[in-house]
Amino acid sequence: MQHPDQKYLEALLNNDTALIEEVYRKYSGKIKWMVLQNNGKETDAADVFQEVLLSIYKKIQNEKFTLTCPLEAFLYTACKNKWLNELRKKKLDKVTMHHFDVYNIDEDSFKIIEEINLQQARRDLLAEKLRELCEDCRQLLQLNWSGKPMEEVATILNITYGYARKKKCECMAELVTLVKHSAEFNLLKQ
Amino acid sequence: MEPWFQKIEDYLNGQMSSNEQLLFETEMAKNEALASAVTVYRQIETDMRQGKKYGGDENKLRQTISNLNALYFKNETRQNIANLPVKETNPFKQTTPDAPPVKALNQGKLNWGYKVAIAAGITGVMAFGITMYLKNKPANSSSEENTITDTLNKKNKPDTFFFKQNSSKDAIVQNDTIIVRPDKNGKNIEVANLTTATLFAANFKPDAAPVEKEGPLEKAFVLYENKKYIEAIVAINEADINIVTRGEEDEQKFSLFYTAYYKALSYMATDHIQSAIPELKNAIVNSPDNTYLVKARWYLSLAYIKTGELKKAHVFLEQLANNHTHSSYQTKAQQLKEQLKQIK
Repeated sequence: MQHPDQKYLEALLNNDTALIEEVYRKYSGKIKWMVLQNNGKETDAADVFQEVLLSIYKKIQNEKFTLTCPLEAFLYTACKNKWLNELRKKKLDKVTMHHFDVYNIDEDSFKIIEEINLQQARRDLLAEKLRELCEDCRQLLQLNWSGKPMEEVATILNITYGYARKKKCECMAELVTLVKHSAEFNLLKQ
Repeated sequence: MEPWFQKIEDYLNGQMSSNEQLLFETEMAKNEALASAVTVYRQIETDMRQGKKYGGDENKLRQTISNLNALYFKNETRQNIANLPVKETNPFKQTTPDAPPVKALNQGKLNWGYKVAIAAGITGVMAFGITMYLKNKPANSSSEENTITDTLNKKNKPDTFFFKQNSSKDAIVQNDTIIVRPDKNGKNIEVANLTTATLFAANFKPDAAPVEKEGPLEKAFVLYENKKYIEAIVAINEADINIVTRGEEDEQKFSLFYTAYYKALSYMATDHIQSAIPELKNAIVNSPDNTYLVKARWYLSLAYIKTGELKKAHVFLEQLANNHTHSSYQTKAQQLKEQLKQIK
């Protein structure tokens, strides 16, 4: 059954500043507190909160989902998981965690949160590996991903269509290799 | 490059004949590395194309979130949390009506969190009391420019607030700083100790939006006028500065000033003083005329009072107190300077 807090998800979709501000007013303090309690700084809390909100936005853009628990519990669990991942990267996840399991949420909500965090981790990894490519590759790939047909990409970059196609494959080969050799590759496999 | 990548591209884009497709899929079934490369390739294409597809809307949301992050994390944390023991600021102890049951919480003595909350409560009650008092004042005692500071200093007038030191025999003297007001019999009664917070609350009133609102900041001015300060900040940030730079020279100067000035006032109205200070400095640098320069200095001095940087506040109050061209601000600054002396 849809929770009344579904309105906040719609607010993200519509960039409804007043409602998004309400989300910050109501919940940011708790996320901040959770991060500060667990080896984090204020900037970490800000990043976690921001990224989780953006991840939720991306999720509902592609596939609407129904919120079946209060947003507070949903956000807290998503931020907690996200922060735990960050701590794992820093090898700090073995230290005692404080007040991590504050909410019990239903299985469906938990699955959505897992999905959201996974998608975000994948996007972060791709962004990181994309930065390792040369400028020419980045430019070509981004133009192509923006929806432009390869003929138009070739014109913009002042290269032939044939070379653009060949170059894209070279760039993708490099990117796929970088991703597959990364420590986080198993995320992409899921 | 591995020879397969051109084929992967063709396969995923549906550019293979059915025979080629069959051969490719057969090869994938035998070749694990190829199958894995296709999976990763497809995932990258899907993720990146989705990101680009919604890029425009996402950028707008990013801007909103970025603004709110600045308001709710960086400043709030720096001011209210960083200086307090982290374990004592558990926000779950605050009652939120729609919060689900919470487990594993610290239960203990009155802590810093509560003390801060109580202090905030007292300040709130005081502010409410002052507001109610002002609302109930006779109409002829108020004006557009009338702030509590104005009335605080009209000594010996029983129908107004005023600041007075140790003057009432009924007042309880604490730290030599008391705000007293007359009761219905004209007798002075204490309402609160004077602190930087109470001085700020008594003096801060957001300036009116410009009468002429047309231009890139029009939306922001309307929001500001309707006290939608957060939205006003977002609207200012989103305003197309290129339109400003294409305007007349005077218009440009004003727009540049308004951007900083009204953002600062919106920050102050939402109690994000640290964010307001750099904006007010910008406003002072870009002030288009002497009136706005005076106003920006006034608000900057109030911001410094709120943050407890009294020496800095004093510098700006001194400038205002010596400025004879704007007598109302001159008077207010002189009075505020005197009141600041009472704060230890």
